[in-house]
Amino acid sequence: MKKLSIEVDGKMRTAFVEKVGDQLWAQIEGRSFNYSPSRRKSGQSEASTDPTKILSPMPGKITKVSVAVGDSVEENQALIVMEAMKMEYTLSSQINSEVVKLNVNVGDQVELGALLVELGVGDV
Amino acid sequence: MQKIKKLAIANRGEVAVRIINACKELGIETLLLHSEADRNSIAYRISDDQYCVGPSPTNESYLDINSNVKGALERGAQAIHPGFGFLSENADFAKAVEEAGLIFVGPRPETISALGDKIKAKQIIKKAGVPSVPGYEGDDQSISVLTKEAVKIGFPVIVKAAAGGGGRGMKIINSESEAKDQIESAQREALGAFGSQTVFLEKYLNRAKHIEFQVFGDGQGDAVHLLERECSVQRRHQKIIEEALSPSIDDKLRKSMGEAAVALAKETSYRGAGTVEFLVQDSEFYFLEMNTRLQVEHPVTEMVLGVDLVKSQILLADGSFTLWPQEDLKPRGHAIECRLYAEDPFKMGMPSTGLLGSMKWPYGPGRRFEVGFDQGDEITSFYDSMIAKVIVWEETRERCIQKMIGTLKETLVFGVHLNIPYLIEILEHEEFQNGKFTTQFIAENFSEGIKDQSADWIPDFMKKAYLEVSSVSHQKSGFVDPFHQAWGDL
Repeated sequence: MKKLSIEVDGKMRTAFVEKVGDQLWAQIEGRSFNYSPSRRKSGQSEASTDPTKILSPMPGKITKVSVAVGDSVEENQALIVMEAMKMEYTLSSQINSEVVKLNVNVGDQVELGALLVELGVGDV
Repeated sequence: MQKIKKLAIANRGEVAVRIINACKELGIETLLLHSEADRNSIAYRISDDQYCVGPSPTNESYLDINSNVKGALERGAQAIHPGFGFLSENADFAKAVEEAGLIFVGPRPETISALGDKIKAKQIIKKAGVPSVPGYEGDDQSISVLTKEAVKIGFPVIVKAAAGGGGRGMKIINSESEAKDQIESAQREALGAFGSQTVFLEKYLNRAKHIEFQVFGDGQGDAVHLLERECSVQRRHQKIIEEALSPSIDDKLRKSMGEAAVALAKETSYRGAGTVEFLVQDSEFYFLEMNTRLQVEHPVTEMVLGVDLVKSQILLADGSFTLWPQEDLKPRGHAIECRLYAEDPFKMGMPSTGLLGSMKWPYGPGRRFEVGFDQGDEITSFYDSMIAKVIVWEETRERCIQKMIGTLKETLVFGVHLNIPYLIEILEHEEFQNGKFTTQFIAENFSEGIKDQSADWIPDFMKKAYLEVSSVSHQKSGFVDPFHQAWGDL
């Protein structure tokens, strides 16, 4: 860990920083930030910017799959429930669409960023 | 004569460390019963002996009764401390431990099962004269009787499906005129959801505080209380910040609540540390439940009373403990505990896992850090996200809050996100500071989590800092990064 002062837009800014693995972590008054040029900022969500691809926002276990291939789903409809750190999270569709592919089953352990469900918006 | 020469810990994380350290001070050898994932943890490194009870998922390791008992027997421990969570309130585990000829550091199995059973617990508290939430659970389910009972209880009243749970079939009645509609509606929902339209009534505590009393019994029928902790700051029934004493009860109420808690402990000839939880509203208190184990928030009690609850539990189990006289248990100052969860506070508490970098715990007078993991350890998704606790003590509550904010701001943990910004916003909230907060506090004020107000200079700073840190480490190692130049114009 080191205390680093860097000039940004003409002003000196200071933070405690440390590289852990391939990421740089910085701490400013209890708040943490991470950055890696090769990866999306994880504080910025691993959620895909493509709403047809439902990615795992965290490592964890699939505890419920609420849809089947071919189902049409509405905006905000729950698709997958997963558990991590003893807490449940529901992943929902952001769009009206159809389930094209399901890559997981109940009980699967998935990694951060894994592609769980693929949705289609073609001729639905 | 010391009976316990080696004690097994059937737990993990910061509480395992807490128990191991107490044993070290008592000259007792320690055996850590751990899962495969927890080889990389402080408890593993500081314990004298380690036994793997199974793979990472809790139901195959920390919740496996046979494996934990087997490990303790095989490695020659005389006692098992269950910590909190996992098997700590499992009567079958306590029984299995005792049947194996080992000492269970906790209450008797019968006490755990009696207090864990809703109906039995109700009988016990009635006998001990402890007040519970007023209600009606009669067989007469006619609207007229239910309405009459609701009036008797006093509004607001909540009507709940007897077979229910999870909020379905639950309605709140604010006045007599609403009673008929709300009861009928609850009955319909109950029938639809659970196949039975039987409902019961309870006084609805909409502005209640969660206040709990620490008790300690000698197992022979004597017991004392170690005052209260206020734990109203809860998110979906998960406690976040706890303090001792409560800012919102006076000495008169404190006295009657303490006496009720002791009466319950005596009624069950309670053995060891336990907690009697109450809901308090309008200076009335109601029994919620009794936790037959050590609590996560036990340090705040230790700080204001100058006692060591874990050591006391072990000494009692060893047969070498004398109960404190009640009149000696006088509090001084104020203590607050914050639970550090590995989660992203700006994304509604999304779990944050990963490899831990270095940490800085800003030690100082009246600051205590209960930590389970260190640099190089991995925070995985298998276990709950509490990786550490920060506890501070000060002369007054106001200064204690100020000290906690300062301490949290100086705490540095690299590699995972922590809920520190969330904790700071709570501590700075007017309702927290004036002590008027209830169990609705988080739902009313933080239902949307907290907002990301990070400055716009952060992204640029991060990029530049990344380059600087990367280049410094390369210069040090004498390694020339062929890609380094390429990053230069980022």
